Amino acid sequence: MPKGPSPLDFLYSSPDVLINIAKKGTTEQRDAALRALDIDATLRTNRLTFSLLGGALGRQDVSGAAPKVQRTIYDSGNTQTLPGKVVRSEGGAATGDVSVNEAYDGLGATFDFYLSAYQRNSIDNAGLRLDASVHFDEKYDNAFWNGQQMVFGDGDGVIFNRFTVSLDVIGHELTHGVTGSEANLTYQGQSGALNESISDVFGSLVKQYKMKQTADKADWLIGAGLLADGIKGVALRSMKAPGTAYNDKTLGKDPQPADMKHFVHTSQDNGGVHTNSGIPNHAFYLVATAIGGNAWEKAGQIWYDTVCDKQLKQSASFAAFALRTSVHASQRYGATSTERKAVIDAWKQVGVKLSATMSVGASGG
Amino acid sequence: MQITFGRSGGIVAAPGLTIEATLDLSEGHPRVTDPASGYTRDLSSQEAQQVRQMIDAASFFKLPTELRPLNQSASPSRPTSIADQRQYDITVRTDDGRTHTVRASETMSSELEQLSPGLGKFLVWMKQECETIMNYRRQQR
Repeated sequence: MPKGPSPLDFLYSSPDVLINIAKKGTTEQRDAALRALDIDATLRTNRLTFSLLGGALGRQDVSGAAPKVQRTIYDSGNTQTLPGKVVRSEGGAATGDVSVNEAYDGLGATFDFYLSAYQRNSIDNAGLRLDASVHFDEKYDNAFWNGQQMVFGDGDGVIFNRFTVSLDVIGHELTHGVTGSEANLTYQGQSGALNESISDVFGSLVKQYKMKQTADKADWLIGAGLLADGIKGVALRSMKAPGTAYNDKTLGKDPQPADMKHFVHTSQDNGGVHTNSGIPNHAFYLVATAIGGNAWEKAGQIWYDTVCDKQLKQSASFAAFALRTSVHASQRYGATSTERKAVIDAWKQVGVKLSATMSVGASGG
Repeated sequence: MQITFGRSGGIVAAPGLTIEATLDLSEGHPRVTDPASGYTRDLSSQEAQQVRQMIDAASFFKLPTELRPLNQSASPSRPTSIADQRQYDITVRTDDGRTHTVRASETMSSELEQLSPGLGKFLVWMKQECETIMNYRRQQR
């Protein structure tokens, strides 16, 4: 006997399409579309409720007002509840909880960095509130960005310390929000690895800016201080030397490649987004150290211009991203500039081809 | 029915945190195995029955392999994100030889439950089992 459609058949249909099917389809199609709309409405309601309850979706009214950070730190109480209970709001005094204070200070440092370096007013450049939850789950060895807020685990105490301990990790998570507001690179394969790399780049720059370090003085590590005592390693990743951050019995060996010859093909981790990010990470390191000085000023500006480039597709490959960095280096500093040469040389060194006709002196635009 | 399940990704994404385990729900000896660490756990017949009920093969086999959160953000400039969330893979092999894989991120249990009744509960069960496997690996240090 033929079976009618299920809500799964409309998994990727828009509400408008579903409403049309509900109006004009057969009885079975109408029922399935209405059930799909019910799922859709439930999810919308959940997210809207989060917003109305003080979630991160509400924007500040910034018309005419100077950019001002608006932070809220929540405590998930070692459950998987988000956002949890408010434990520190903007302007509130430090608490006795180190994770709460690190999250609060880290969000502030990241906001200051984006505003000072690139005149960006928060994640969306429109003063979006910055929300973070700490103590998520029990012994949770992770931190993530869900599109609405940052989430930090306590670590298990055996392999990892608390995930708020590294300023660059906080900058990394917040930068996922920035990327989501701009290029919104698809979190899969090369575009996903670029998404990850951009978070590592600006996470590291937040730390360098805070510590007033020039490119040659920076450690170029992501997550220094995160590994617990006894773990053989220095961090989660090294932009200077991808693949060397750790080599430990429990963690295994850092799998990051530094060039395209060692690109990792895998279905795990959304196509190796945290692995192959080593390639654009290393390219950025090479650009920053070749230019010299403060990495956020020129190398960072070129990368920031690229992330905000409307011509960069969500599905961008390494080569497409590299080409746009070259274009922006040219637009900012000139087609024959040392900055643009540094960009082209770096991508060549990691094995990413910009274009057959690309060379220093070409218009690039 | 045999199920392989895996966990990967997260901001750390280290090889030692990646799990590829097998759940054999054959009659008689239902068991979880993690070949990388040698971990095994026998399931009670009651737990095995509960897990079988979580996988509705009819709807599971209709799901696309890559599942993403439905993008229902209240703000157009704030797309739903799975950045740094752990990826969970579920591969089901039925007794008649059919195989299908579904991938989802760690916070999608309610969405999975709506797409395939029981699947969200299986994600919760799988996350707990992965933590048990990780505890076993930690104890081996």
